[in-house]
Amino acid sequence: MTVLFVAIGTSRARSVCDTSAYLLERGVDVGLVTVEPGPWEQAGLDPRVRLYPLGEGEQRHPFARLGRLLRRVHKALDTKFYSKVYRLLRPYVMWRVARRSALRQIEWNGVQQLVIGDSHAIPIGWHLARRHPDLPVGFELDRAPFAAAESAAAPAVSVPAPRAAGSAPTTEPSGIDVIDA
Amino acid sequence: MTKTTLAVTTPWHPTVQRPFAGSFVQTTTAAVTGLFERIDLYGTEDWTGPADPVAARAVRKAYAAMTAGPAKRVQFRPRWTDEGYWATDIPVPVTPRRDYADWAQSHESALRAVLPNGFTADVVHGHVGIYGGWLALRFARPDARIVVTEHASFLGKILRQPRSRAMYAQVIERADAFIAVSQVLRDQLAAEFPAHAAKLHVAPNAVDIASMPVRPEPVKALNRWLYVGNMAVTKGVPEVVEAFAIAAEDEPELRLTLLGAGNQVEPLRARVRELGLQDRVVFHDAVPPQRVFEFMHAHDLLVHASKSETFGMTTVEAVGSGMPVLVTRCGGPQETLAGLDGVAGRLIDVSDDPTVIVDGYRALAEQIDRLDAHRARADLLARYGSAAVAARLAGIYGVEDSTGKAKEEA
Repeated sequence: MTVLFVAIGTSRARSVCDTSAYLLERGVDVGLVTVEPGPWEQAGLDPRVRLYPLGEGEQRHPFARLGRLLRRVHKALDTKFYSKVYRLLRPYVMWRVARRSALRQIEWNGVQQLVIGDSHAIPIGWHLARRHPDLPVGFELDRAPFAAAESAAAPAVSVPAPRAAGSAPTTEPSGIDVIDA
Repeated sequence: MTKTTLAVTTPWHPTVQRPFAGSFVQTTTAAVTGLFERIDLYGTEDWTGPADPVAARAVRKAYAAMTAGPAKRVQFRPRWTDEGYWATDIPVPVTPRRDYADWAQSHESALRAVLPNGFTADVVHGHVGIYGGWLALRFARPDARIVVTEHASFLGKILRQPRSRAMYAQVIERADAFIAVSQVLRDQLAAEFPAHAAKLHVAPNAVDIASMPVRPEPVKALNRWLYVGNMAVTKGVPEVVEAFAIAAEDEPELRLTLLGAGNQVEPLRARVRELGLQDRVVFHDAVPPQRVFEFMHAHDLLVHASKSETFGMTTVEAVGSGMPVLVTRCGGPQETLAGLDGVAGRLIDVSDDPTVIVDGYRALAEQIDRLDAHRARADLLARYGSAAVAARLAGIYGVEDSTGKAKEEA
């Protein structure tokens, strides 16, 4: 059983990371279709989340190759013309890349929900929804199917628990909070 | 409780992505649950998308196809909240670098997918005129009572945009009551829309003071300073650091904690290094609201040197928890601390000069024995506590309050 997220950028990383943690605590596999894995590591995504990056495929796409070639020949041509055009074509390129590479690695029969994680991912989310007409799709996780495991697991939102008595914050430098630590 | 129903529409309400956003809307809505048979809150949350017109259009089209029409795939279901009302979270794809009018219309499109026939509620309460107010105007029944609360610090910016201002004027025209969370905001609205001055009220958001933990021991010395909030220039944080440096020169026991996130964190870290105060100033990332009180209890003085505040929630929280405050007269605080200057702490002038803070601190340190934290908390409870705000809102909503006494004031 898998919940699959699609999030192109990390503007809503907190939601994706916290919801992934919620699912992993309940033994549910989590996948994320995104562009680059790096920013997600920085955002604190659990390393158990399986990533399906589109960035490499995008770089191999003929449009991206053309862009690199233009940049080498004439930088201004790239910045003034090509990059503007490519921004418009990028959703189409990303969907082509997703369809030809990342999405082929996913075992779709096991996907229980598709969660669209940011605004940029909405077009790909819609393509996926059309391809998989029986797959539940949402902008947040529908937690109802996982409610049974609710009481046994940690809270849904990873709000740090209050510190235990005797470990209240102090004004003394204490490791992670210290300047120049 | 009456048979009346309430719909609340707001761009700010806690979500998984923003668990601390709009907690004041949450508390205010929770405060009035006893007044209505049912409350439905619709939280429309900005999801910032691509700026390119073509890419933005692709997002809008895909969103519309998924949320409305014959092949729609996403169902928005209300969830029951711990606070005692129903909430529906609705993402709104918005395009950057547009005006508030455009964003408000994006919120309208998103809500239309959820509520094609509009609100059925008898009373509709919109938070933030250009967002929740606009949705109230567009979705309320013709005979519904519309109440709008304005608490946006960016009101001036909205009203400087011609399209946004025109929409705002429609909202204020239709609203039966228009609430500002502070007198400053009310005066601003009255100056902009003098014809509607009669329907402008001042009513704060509810603050759950009753459940704020009071510090076990009263403060006896102001050695441990605390700042809580955005680390921004407009909040006066650089001045706090400079003032601390001056005061700390003569008082080796002084410490400062800066609690919050923002673009001034790194510049201020550098400044603190320059001042050689690394071992006396601590930076801490923002924490959930419930953890703020741990910090307040572990410190002696809240120092807030903001240039402008519509309300100043942190100051109220500090006083509610029994912590002395040193705060600027920046709008909201001189209202929230009306009659409490010298009781809850000390008010100082807004200034770029850090010595104003230092002088205020020294004066407060001399009068610390005369502060009365219990009286200050009780005073705030009577004005901003959930019961007090619910009674005031009952009058504005035109419904019976918990005592069963009609309090129509609008």
